Amino acid sequence: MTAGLRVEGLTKTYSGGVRALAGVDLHVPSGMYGLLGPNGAGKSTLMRTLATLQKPDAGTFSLDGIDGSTDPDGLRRRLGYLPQQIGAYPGVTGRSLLRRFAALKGRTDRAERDREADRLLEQVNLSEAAGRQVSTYSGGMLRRFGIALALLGQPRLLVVDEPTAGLDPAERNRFHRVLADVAADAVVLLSTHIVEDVENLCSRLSVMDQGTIVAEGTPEELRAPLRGQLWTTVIPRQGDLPEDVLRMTAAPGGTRVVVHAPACPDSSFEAHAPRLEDVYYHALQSEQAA
Amino acid sequence: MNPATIFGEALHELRVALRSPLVPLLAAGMTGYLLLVLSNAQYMQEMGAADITRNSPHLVYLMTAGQGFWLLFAWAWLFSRVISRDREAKLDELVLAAPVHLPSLLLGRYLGVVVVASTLGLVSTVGFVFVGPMEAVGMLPAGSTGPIPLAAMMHAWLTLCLPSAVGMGALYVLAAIRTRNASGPFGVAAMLMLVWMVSMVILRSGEIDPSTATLLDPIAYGEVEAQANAWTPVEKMTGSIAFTPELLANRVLWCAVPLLALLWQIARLHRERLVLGAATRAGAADDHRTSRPPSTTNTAPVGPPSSPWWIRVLWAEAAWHTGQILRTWGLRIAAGLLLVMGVTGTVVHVVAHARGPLVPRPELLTAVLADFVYLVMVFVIAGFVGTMMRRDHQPGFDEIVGATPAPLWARLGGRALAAAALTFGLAMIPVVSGCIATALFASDSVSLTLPLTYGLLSFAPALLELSGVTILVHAWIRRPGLAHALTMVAAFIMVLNQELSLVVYPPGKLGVPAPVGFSELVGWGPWLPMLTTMAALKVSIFALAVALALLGWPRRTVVAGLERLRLAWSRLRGPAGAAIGAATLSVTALLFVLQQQFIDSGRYVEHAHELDEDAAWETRWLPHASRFWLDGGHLSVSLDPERGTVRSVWRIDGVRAEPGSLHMELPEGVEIERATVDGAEAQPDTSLGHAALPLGACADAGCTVELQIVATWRGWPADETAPWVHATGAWVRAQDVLPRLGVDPDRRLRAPRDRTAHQLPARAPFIEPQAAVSPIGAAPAGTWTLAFETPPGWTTHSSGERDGALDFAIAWRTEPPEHTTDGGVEIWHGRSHGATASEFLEDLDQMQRCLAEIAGLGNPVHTVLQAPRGHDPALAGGLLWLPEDRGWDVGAEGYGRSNRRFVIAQTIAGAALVDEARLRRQLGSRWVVHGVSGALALRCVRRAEGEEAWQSLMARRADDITNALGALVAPVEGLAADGDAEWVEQYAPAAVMAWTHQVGFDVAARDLNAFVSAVADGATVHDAFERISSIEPALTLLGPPLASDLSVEPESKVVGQRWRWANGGWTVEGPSSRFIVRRSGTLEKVSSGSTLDREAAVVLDDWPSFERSIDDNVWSGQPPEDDHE
Repeated sequence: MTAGLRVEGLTKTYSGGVRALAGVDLHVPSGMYGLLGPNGAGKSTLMRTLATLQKPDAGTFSLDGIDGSTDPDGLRRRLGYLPQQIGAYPGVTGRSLLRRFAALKGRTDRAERDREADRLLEQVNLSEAAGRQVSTYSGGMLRRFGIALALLGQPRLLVVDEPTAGLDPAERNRFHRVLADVAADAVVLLSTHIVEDVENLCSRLSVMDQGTIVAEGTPEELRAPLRGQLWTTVIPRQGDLPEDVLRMTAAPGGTRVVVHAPACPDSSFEAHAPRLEDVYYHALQSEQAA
Repeated sequence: MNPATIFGEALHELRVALRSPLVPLLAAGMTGYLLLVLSNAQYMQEMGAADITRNSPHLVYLMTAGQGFWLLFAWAWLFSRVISRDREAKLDELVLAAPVHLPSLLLGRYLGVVVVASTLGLVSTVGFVFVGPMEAVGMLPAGSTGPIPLAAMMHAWLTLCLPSAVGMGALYVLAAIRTRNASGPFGVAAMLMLVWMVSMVILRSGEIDPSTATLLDPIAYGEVEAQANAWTPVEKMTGSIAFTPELLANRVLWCAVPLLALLWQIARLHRERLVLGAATRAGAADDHRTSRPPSTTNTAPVGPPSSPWWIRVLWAEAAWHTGQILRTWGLRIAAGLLLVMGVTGTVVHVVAHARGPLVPRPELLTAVLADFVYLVMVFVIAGFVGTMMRRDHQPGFDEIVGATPAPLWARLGGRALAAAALTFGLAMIPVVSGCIATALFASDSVSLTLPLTYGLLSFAPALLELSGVTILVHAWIRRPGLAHALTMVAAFIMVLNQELSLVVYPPGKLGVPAPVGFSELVGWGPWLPMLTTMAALKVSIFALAVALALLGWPRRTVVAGLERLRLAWSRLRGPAGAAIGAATLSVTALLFVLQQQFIDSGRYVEHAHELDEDAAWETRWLPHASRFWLDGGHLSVSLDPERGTVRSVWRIDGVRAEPGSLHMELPEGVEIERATVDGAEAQPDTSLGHAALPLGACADAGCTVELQIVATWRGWPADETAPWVHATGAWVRAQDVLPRLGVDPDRRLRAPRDRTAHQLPARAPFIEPQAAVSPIGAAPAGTWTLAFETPPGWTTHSSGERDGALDFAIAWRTEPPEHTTDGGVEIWHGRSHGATASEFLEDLDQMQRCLAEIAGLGNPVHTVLQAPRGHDPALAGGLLWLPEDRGWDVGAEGYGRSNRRFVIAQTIAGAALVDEARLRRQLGSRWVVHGVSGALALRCVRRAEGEEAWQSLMARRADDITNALGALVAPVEGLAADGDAEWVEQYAPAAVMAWTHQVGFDVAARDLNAFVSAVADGATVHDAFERISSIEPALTLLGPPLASDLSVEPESKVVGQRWRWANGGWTVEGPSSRFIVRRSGTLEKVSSGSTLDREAAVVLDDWPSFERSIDDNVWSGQPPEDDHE
C-alpha cells in the first residue's frame, strides 16, 4: 500500500472540448501540499475529481491505497473537501448544520456527532456563533465554518480550493494555523493563486498549467535551479521593457522587472534572490516555450 | 425616466426570456393541456359545454381565467428574474455601480417580463385555433367546432390575462425587491392563491357575498365562471363577459393598485437596498467578537467514524429535514391558516350553509373539509417538498454534501421520509379542524376514528403521490425555477382532476383521494379493502417516484446529458434498481388487483363504453320492444351477504305482450338463472344488459312467468356509492337486484352528437308507453306479494303486499341501529342522529297530514330508514328510504329542514301518483313523477312553514334550474322528451306549481285526479292532457321550459317579462299580461298595469313558468299577518 495521495495519468475533457486535465501525475505525502496555477490551469477540476465529484476520463487516484475510481465511498470516508465558494445556507444554525454533515460523514452515534461538532466549532472559533443562522455569517466566518465542515470525520485527505480568497490578513493567518494543525496528521492539498500562502505553509508543491503538472518539488528544490540566474531592475515609465521578462510588478517610478539569464544583462540590473513566485512564472514560461 | 434604458432593458428581458427553455416549455405544456381538455367529452360535460362547440367563447373565457391558477406561479418565477438574475450571476454590484437610471432599469425589465408573461397567457388561448384541425383529423367529433373565436380570445386576453400579468407582476417585483430572490415572489403567489381560495370557497361557494368574492379574486375566475355558467347555450356560443362594476373594481384592485405601488417603490428605491446582503442587514459583520485566536481546546478528537450504519443516517436526515420544515414560519403559518380555514370553512359550508344549516358530523364533514383545503394543500406540499429538495443547493454546500460518504439512498430516503411526514402531517389538518368543529357544534357526534381513517387511508396517500412527483421532478430537473414550475403544473393538473374528473378510473387519478361515500349505518366495512389497496398503490407510486428520483439525483457537480443517462443506467444495478424493481412490482400487482375489483368483477365502466353499449342496445332491442301488461305476482327474496348475493324467485301473473316477448333491463350483476313460461322452460335472449323472454302462445291470453334471479355485488365501488350488499350489511332496493320489466327510454342516446357518432338516426325512436319500464321499482303496477328471507341479525323491509308498481327496499345489519318510534312510525337511524329522528317524525307527520288534506293521500309510511348516501329517496311498501345526504345532515331549522320536508312530501306523493296512474316511463311521465309531486310538496312546505320558507325553496330552485340549463348534456327538446335531464327534475315542480296557481288549487286538484285516472286507464300523458280542459296545451306544459320575472315596483305596480326556451337559449315571449296575487291562501288574478293595495302579497305570473327571481315578487304592504293557507 502506498501512503498518501497518488494520482496517475488523470485526464478529463469536458463535453465542450475543453481539456481540463491532460495526464496529471502526483504523489502527495502527509503534510501540506500546494497546488499553484493560473486560472483555467485545471486546479479546480483536479480538486473536484479528487473529491469524487467528477469522474476522470482516464487515470487513477488513490489515498493510502484506496482507489478513488473503484471505491469512491471508501475515499469519501477519509475525505474533507472545502470548495472555492461557500454560500449562506438559509434558515439553519451553524451547530445544526455541522451535526447534520457529521451524520452524512458517517458519524452515526449521536453523542459523538454532537461532541465533534462542538469541538470543531471551538477549533474554528465559532462556538459563540454556533446558535446563529449560517446565513447571517460574514465571509470570514463562512470560510471558517467551511473548514469545520471539511474537518468533520477527521479526514485523512483534506482538499481545499482557494480557501483564503477574500479574507483579511488576520483571518488568513488564523485559517493557516488551522490547516497547519490538520496537516500534522493528514494530507492537505491546498489549491490557491496566492503564492505566498504556499510558500509559508507547504512543504511541497506543484505548479499546474493547461491540465498538466509543470513543476513539482519542495520550495527549496524548485528555487535552487534559479539561484544566480535571476536579475532585477526598475524600468522607468515610457522605457522599453526587455524581451525576456520573467515577471513584472509595479514599482515607484516605473516597473520592476525580473529577468532570467545566466549572467547579469547590464549594469542597471542587480541580482535577485529567487522566490517561489519566480519559480511559478518560470515554470509557466518553460511550459509555454515547450 | 430614461426611455432608451426602459426600452433597452425591456427588449433585453424579452430576449432572455425567449431564450430560456421555461417559456416555450410552459407554453407548449399549457397548449397541450388545453387541447387535452377540449378533446375530453366528459370534461366538457363537467364544464357545462357538452352541447356547444369546443372553441366557444364560453370555453375561451373559462380556460383563460382558469389558467391563471398556475400562471400565478410561472409568473412568480419570471418576475423574480428582474431582480435575482444579476444577483445569481454575481453581477448585481457591477450593474448597480453603472451610471444607469435605476428606476428606468427596473421599469424596463418589468415591462419586458409583462410582455413575456402576458404572451404566455395568450399562447394557451391561441390553442383554440388548433381545435379546427383537431376536428379535421378526427380527434374531435364532427361538428364540434365553430369559427375561431378571435373576438372572445382578444377580449379574454385584454380583460383577464393582461391586467393580471401587469398587477401580479408588480406584486412579484415588489416582493423580489424585498427578498432579492425568488422566495418573495413565490410567497406572494402562495398568498394570492390563499386569497383566491377564501374568495372562491368561502365567499362565493358559501353564498355569503358574491360581490366581495369577485373583488378579492386575483384572477377574476369566480366572476367569469359565475357569468359564463349562467349563460344559455346560445349565449355560450356568442356571448362575452360583461364588464360589471364588480369586475371593473376587481381589475382596478389587482392591476392598477399594484402597478402604482410598484412605480412608487421603484421611484424611491436606492441602490443600497438591492446591494446589502442579509448578513450585513442582520448585523452579522460583528465578526470581531469571534476573532480571538484559535482555541487550543482540550476536547479530545473523536477519531474517524468507524463502519457507519447508514440506515441511522437515513433517519437522521429524515429527522433533520423534518425539523427544518417544522421550524419554517411559512409552514407554521400555512398550517395555522389551513386549520383556521377548516374550522371557518365548517362554519360557512356546513353550519351556516346557505342550503343548510347542516350539522357538522364527522361522516359529512371529513370529506368536505379535505375537499375544502385540498387546493391549498397541494400547492403547499409541492412548495415545501420542492424547497426541501433544493435545500442543499447553496454555493459550495452541494459539493460538500456530494463529497460525503453517505449513500444516495440514505440522503434521498431521508428527504422522502421527511416529505412523507410533512404530507401525513398536513393531511391531518382537516382531521383536526373537523374534530374541533364537531366538538364546537355537534359535541355528541365527536369521533376520531372516522376522520383519522379517512385522513390516513384516503387523503394522505393521495397527497403523497404529489410529494413523490415533486421529489422526482426536482431530482431530475437541474434548474430550480423549471422544477418548481413543473411541480406547480402537476399540482394544478391534480386539482383540476379532483374538481372535474378528467381521469375517472380511480387508480389513474394521481394525487386525488380514493372515492368514499361514508354513511353512518354502512360504516367502513365495504370501503376498507378498496381504501387500503388504493392507499398501498399510492404509497407504492410514491416509492417508485423516489426510486426513479434516485437514478437522477445528482452527486457529482458536472453531470449532464448522456453522461447523466449513463449514470442513471449504472445506478440501475444498485439499490435504486432494486427499489425501482420492488416498487414497480408492487404497483403492477396492486393495479392488477384493482383492475380485477373495479373492472373485471366490479362495475366501473368508461363513459364512452357506456355510450357504445347503449347505442348498440338501441339498435339491437328497440325495434323489437313489446307492449306488455301484467296482473301482479309473488316475489320471494333471499339475502346472502356472505356471498354478496341476493336470490329471488319471481312469479309474474297474467303477462301479456305484443309481440310475444317480455323485455327486461338487467342491472349490472343481475342474471336470470332460470325462466319458465306457464311452467315450461324458456330461454331468454340476453345481451347488452337486456333480456327478452319469448312468451309463446300465452302472450295474448296471459302467461305465468317465473324467473329465478341471482344478483351479485362483486368487486369494489369505483365511485362514492356503497355496495348494496356486503358481509355486515345490505341496503337493497328492487331496481338493484331484479330485472326491470320493459325497455328503459332513458337508455336512448339523446345528444345529437352522440347519436351521429354511433350511426344512429338523428331523432331517438319513439317507445310505446306500454312497452316502457315503471318509473320506480322493477315492474309496473300490479298486485304483488313479497316475502323476504334474511340471515340472523336485524332486518327491516317493505310490507309484504303491494298494489302498484313492484318496488321494495330491505335493510339488514348484523347489529340493529338506533330507533325512534312515535305515532306508529318507526325510524331507524345512526347513533348520532337521535335528535334528527325526532325532528324527522315531526316533518313526516306534517307532510303526511298535508298530503292527506290536499291530495287525499293516506298515511303510507310506517318505517323510515337512514339510507346510505348517494341513493335516491324512495317510498316502497311503507318504507321511506331516505339517504343520509337527503335530509339527515340538516339542522333543526332553516332551508335545509324545509328542503327535507319537500323531499319527504315529494317522495311520498311521487310513489302514490305512480301507483295510482299505473304509470310507465313514457313521454311526460316526469311531469307527474317530479312535477305534480313536487308542486304538492312545495305547497305542503308552505302550509307547514309559511311564506318565507316557500320563497327560500323557490329561490334555490330557480338557481338550480338556471344551473341545470347551463350544463346541458343534450339540447333541450322539452319536458316530456328530455327524460332524465337534470333540468326536468328541477323545473317540473315549479312549472306545475305555477299551473296550479293559474287554474286555482281546487280546479287543479280535480283535473289532476281526472288526469291520473285517464293515464291509469291506458291513456298516454299527452292524450290525458287533451282530455282535461283546464290544462294548457301539452306543448306548453310538456315542451321547453318557460320563465317569468315579475317585480313589484316601489309604487306597488307590477311589471313582468316572459321567456320561452328556443334554439338553445331564452327568447323573449313578451311582457306578462296577467298575474296572480296570492294572499293568505287566496289567489286573485289581475291584469297587467294594476297596482297592489296595502295588503301584503306575493305576485306570480299567470303562466306555467318558473319565476327567475322570487325576491322582488313580494309586496310587503302592511306588516305581514299569518300568511298560512
